[in-house]
Amino acid sequence: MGAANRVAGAVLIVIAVVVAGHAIVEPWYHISTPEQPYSPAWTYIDPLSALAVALGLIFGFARKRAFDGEAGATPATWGRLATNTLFYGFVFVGIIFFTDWFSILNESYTALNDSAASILWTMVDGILPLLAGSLGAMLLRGD
Amino acid sequence: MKLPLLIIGWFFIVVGVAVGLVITIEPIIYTSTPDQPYSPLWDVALDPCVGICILLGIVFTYLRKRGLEAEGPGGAITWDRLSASALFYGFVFIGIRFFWDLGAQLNWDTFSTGSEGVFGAVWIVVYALFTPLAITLGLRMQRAARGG
Repeated sequence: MGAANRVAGAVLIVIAVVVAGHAIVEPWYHISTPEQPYSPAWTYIDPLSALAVALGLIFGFARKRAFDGEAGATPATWGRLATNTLFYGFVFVGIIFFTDWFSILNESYTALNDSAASILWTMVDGILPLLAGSLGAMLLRGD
Repeated sequence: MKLPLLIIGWFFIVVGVAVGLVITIEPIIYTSTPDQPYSPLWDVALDPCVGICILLGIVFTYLRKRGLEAEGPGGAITWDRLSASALFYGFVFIGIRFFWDLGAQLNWDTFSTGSEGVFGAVWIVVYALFTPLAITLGLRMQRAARGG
């Protein structure tokens, strides 16, 4: 499990850097057109984000389960608080990410208009790197 | 008290899982029409259930929070107390946003504060927060009903 944790941790950190880095530099290099308002690089980055959400849910849940054995009446530890924050953060971001991503992939679904999707992408691209980077660092350190 | 708690706990879990699943897969299984851009399932079943869960959630988590606050502000930050407060304030937050969005949707002709994009984004954020809150509270109720 130690090797799997380290590999997942490294993958999460790389994806965090890619998502955050690209979200920041995109407005500086991409010239929007009506057909392509955002960079086509997201076509390749979005599957990586999906992988980060999946890894975050799996490894985050495994870590959370380890802490769930502690009694509720005992003082809250930093590790338990951080683990729960990361797991529920991945659940929250995962739901928004997949709703947003699937609505792009299926053009016949129009309930989520462009400005709503844009607001949600801004949230996902801002929160996912923090969650993936933090969990990745914890897994790499073996915390 | 145990059987009602068990049933209400199941209700929270079922609604939480249903909302999380439908909101995630709806974009790939539903074909929008001009009259019905999103699935009619939301209007006839899911939103009323979400509204009931939020109201019940606020009541149950408030009672739980009050019970744990009996020791006063000088007590240790226990996990039970921290999670009870997180659940209560979480339900209050999504309650405000859910009923605001619902009111705006039902009064679309006369209420124009905020763009369609903001309303759409708020719905998704509410559902994304509601899912873990409802499932967590439902599981807590199940454990409490079984004496855990």
